[in-house]
Amino acid sequence: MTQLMNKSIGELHDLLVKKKVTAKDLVLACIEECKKDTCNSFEATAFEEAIKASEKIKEVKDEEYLKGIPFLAKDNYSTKGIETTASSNILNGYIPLFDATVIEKLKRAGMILVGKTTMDELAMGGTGTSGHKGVTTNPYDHTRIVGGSSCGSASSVASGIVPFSLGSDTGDSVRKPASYAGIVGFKPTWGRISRFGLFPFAPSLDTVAYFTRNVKDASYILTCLAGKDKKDMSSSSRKKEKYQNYVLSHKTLKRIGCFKSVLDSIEEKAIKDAYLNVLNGLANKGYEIIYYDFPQYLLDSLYPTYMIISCAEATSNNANLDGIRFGPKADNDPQTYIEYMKQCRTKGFSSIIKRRFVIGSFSLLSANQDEMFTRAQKARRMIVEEMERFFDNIDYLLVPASYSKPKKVEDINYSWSKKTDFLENIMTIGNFGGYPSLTVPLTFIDGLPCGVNITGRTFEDGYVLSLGQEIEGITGLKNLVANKGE
Amino acid sequence: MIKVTREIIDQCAENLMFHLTDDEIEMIYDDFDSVLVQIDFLKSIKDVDTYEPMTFPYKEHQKVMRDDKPSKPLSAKDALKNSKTVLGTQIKLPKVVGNKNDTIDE
Repeated sequence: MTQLMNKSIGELHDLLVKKKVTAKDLVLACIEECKKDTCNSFEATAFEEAIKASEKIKEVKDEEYLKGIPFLAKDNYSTKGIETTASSNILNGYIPLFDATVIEKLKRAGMILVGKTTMDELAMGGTGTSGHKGVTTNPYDHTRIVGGSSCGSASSVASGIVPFSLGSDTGDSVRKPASYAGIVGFKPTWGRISRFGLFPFAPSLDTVAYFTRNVKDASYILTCLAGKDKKDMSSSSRKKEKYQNYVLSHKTLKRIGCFKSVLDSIEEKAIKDAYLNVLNGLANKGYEIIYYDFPQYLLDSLYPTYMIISCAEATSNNANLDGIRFGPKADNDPQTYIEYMKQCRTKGFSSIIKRRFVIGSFSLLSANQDEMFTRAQKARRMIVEEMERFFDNIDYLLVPASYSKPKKVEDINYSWSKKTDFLENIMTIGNFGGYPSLTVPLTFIDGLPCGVNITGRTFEDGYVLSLGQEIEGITGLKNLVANKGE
Repeated sequence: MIKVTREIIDQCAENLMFHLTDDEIEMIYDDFDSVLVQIDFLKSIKDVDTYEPMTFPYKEHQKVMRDDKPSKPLSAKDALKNSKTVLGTQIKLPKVVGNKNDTIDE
């Protein structure tokens, strides 16, 4: 029974339709796997509720692709009745009164929420080491990170606990962990999916995103989640599509772009070879490969642009965490309500988060705003305008999603870098322009996974997914589970 | 731009409604070395200030007005569920009126 959870959504769906298993069998198998978790993937579990929900499912029809499948959600999604902390002490004990729109939609489709996953505190981090429950490790090597901020969601899909989990992506918080965990990570077009009930970090960049073990599964999930939501005014009213149709019919565009400076800068031979192998494979299938000279100064501006915008936006978005309506109680008999809030926020936020907030606040001071926050927003426009020129003649950007093995846990450093390190930050392009962006497995280096990332034009999510499936065919890497090895 | 000092860092924290320890102030102060390098880099980008700031990923105009229909609000009982100190139907906090110290520092 335990091996059930190594299967993809599609495989489990077939078993359900043929009545070889029940939804309850799947939930019980999933709970068993949750209990064996070795990566520190969980913030909370909802086993009893999951069993009850599964007992209500008597049959699954062929067209009900997601019905009866267990899933997990990152702990920054509001889940009615389940403690939700975003891995921060400031939210300890907070039990939401409503479900996020995406949770509602998944439940309506018959999916079963089994628990909440760990993350970097308030989604601000890329290592999976800064949450209040400690480090979440990589299932392929527990001495290494799985990346973040959606660490628990990545580790749980990669280690065979669930075939799908929700994450969120502000810089590369799903696509980078997907690379380190050997799974599929998809950030759809900004606005394509409602963010109502997703705790905001930097709303001009935040996107609902998720992990699966193959691209076809990811396409069905998007069909379920996409669409306008009256509760989220930033959600797009554009007509939603059946995204699986792109994948099932292998419908792709044909011009693939590769940044020359990226190719020239890859130091890890195994990654470069695998990347070139994919480009050659695509060329052999009739795709045109175009080498594009993206200006280096714009690539070098990715890191400061991202850090300044995200810290500044985060500063204001977390002002509601005051410890009064929810969160921890002040300890030291405060004499004023101001001091009450300060005590709660002082003990609720870690030093790492306080640093981000202070830098964000500094960049928003009236004397600094033009030279910091506003200038970063101008640089963002320069980057996106260059990408629009790129997309005039090219349909996809293809880059490696990571450029080395995931770091050892003890090597993690939270300080700001003096270097621009454009390779490590290249996927922020997807957030700056709101582009759909997908990571799929590329290769293994000494037994550790590394992914490749595809970015397409806004609202061309279906084409991006379909190219992802094409690459799965070239690499032969899909439905990977860590305990099965390569 | 304002010079980065330990006092400014502490002031930012106070504006953000939390306190910093001396160690935290020192850590952030040290980090500003790198932040300032990155700010200088952005400044060095040719013509950057001729661009309009970008606040959203792409242009899309759509109706965002909500329907003018009443909806059911949270009950007082639900709204207070997550608060730690409740008195009747209200959240209990330290006295607000008549205390000299309860103004926000500028």
